[in-house]
Amino acid sequence: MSKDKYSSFRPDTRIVHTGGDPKAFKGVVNPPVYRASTVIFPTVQDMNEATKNRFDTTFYGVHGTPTSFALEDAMADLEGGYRAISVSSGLAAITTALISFLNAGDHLLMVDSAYGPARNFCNTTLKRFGVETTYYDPMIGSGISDLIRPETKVIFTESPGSYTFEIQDIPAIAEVAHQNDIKVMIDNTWSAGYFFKPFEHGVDISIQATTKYQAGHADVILGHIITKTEEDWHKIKVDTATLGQAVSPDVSYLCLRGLRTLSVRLEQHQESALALAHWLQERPEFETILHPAFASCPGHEIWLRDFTGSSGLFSVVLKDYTTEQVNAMLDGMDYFAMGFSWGGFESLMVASDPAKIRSATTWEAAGPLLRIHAGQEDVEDLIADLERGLNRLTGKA
Amino acid sequence: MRKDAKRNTRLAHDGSHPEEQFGIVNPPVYRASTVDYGTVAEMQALRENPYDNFVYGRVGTPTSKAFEEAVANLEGAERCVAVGSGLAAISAAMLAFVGSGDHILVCDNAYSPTRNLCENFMKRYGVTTTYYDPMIGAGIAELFQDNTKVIYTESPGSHTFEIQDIPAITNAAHKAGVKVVMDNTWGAGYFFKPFDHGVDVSVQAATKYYVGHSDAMVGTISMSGENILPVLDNVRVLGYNIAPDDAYLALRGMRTLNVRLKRHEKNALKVAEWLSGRPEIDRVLHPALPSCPGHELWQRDFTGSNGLFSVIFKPTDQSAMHAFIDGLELFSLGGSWGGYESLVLPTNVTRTVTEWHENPQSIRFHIGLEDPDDLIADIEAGLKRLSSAG
Repeated sequence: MSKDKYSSFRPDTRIVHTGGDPKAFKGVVNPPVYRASTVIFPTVQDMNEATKNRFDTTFYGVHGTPTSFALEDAMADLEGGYRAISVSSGLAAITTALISFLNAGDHLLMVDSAYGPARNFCNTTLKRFGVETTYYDPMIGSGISDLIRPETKVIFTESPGSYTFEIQDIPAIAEVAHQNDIKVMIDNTWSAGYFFKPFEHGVDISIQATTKYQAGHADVILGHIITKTEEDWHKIKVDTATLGQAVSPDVSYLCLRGLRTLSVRLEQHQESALALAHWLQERPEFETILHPAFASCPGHEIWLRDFTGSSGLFSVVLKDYTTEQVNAMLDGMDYFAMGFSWGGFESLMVASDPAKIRSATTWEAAGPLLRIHAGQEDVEDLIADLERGLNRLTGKA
Repeated sequence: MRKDAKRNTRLAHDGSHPEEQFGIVNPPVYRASTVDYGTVAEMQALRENPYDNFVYGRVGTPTSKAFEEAVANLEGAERCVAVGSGLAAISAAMLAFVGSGDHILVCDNAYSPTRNLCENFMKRYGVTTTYYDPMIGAGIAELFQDNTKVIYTESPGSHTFEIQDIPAITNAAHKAGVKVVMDNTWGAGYFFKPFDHGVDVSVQAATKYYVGHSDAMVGTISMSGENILPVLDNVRVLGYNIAPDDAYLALRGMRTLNVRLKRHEKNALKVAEWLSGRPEIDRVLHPALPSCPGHELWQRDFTGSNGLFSVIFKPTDQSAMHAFIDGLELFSLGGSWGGYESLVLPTNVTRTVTEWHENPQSIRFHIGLEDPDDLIADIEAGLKRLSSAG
């Protein structure tokens, strides 16, 4: 649809226009919020035609509406894929994509730095349904070939890891995978589909927690699965329909609305996160900075090769401070709110101990890790807030 | 919020009170008519101060209040009230300070629905209007009558972009006990601080840059001190209000106001400067360019510019103008502005006290968040169509 119409334009232009189709909606710039269950067919013949075509037309609310189709078109264009599927959360996107390509008796290779709830899904649900998971070192690269078995069907990647920020060598992993007829999935949320183009690097299925940067306002829970091929899209779409996965039209609308400002927001998130990380790097309280644009981050040279920029999320590893000291810092922040998720307009900070969620690799650090999301506030206010927090940490306040 | 918080920090936080909302970042969408008062005593207590308590859906909800708080803080006012459109804000603000037998002064470049309000409604209710040259400055004092109650300003004009000398006008007005109402939509409360320049009541079509996504109609009225009560009372008496969904979307839009304006500004300057060098264009009316009337006032009083400006073409025929507009791929043809997308509109100039000598073949551009090189290529193709048709 509009995907082809805008194909000659630059990325920032496409973000503003893809998925929009004012001619289809009485000239109004944005698609309406369609709240639909029943779709009416004028004749039996029309209904029969629609049934054959149920994923390409309005057929029944659960399969989508022009509101969700508009967002899916825009998401597919952003990532450079064939087509997108909306599901009700980023986690649902991960679980639905995995369910589609695995069966009892199959084997999954899952990155050791994966998002905690993804690991939990593998260790509980997939295990219960007879799928075995092997965790692998995120820095494994082409060495992943040693872990492949005849029954391995999927290699799941997340680059960078959302707490520990290892950048994976996706092209090397994909090359090995494709030699063995294995699907490569990526959780591409950190790059927002803007800084990393998964299908140019060998990925088959890309997953976005669109809750984060696309929605961008901490007010939506939503996930997307984008595929490289029509065949893979159809396979997942059929399973989505089988599982009854549906998304709210309001949420689709808000996410498309968020997408229109993706590039301007990311520009600021990037600039502010880099400024904070540079400032933190000079401070004596930290061991290391885990930000893909810094040489201290594992996989930094891969980031330089494969990514075109960085977003607002990174971590810093503290030296050996007590829990009380760290809590004194976190509890008094003026602008860095304490809470999960990220990608909204506001700054966030949480403490974490990655050692607890590792099995194939070990995590060794003197102190806890602080994960920071740089929001859209004035960066001088954010730095002053961090400075006051570090004074509380070290007892200077 | 710390007192020393800068403008962009406030934009990311003002109006949100997670501590009152189960820790959730954004305020909820309250759909309200009835408010349950509990007891008679509580009802009486709440109703004693209807503007600071929640007494009835029409008078405000925590959702509308969150948006109003963010706007008031950005504009530098003590209070803001949100209504259903920019025009509703203009009418409610003016009507708060005039009655039958009064006189108002309105800038000659005003938004045409404002002029329509004066020519129809105001006239019917015995309020007379004198239009004045937007470049009048302190000379406005000569137009004062004993019954002058309000000076209405719009700076810059949204089709012709004259920047007014607001401090000179407010200085003259206050000596004569006259209120100054300003349409501050172009400055978006971000690039122009009306209360630092003497304005009494600032109105905005929040439909434009606050909402920022062409998906809601919202107006705001901001004011301080003795001007608060007359406006709140008038809005309440007229029954104006804002839908909770629209208030939510407007506040949601404000969270990205700074990053959007930064890109609108950068893109618009690039396109305007490119157009300035084109042989088809006679003049570019963009406040940041010296070719715009009041450019030096913009340099003095504003801290930046946004995505909206006009160009005056060299004389050509109407069919060539149509060929230019109709074939544009990225610029939609439509009213309003401030959304993420680029727009064009033939300019609409009605003058009664000043002469508009310029060639009527002029177009207003709103430069969106697209890549500016794509926009320039689209305009360049349009100029080729214009030349071959003309």
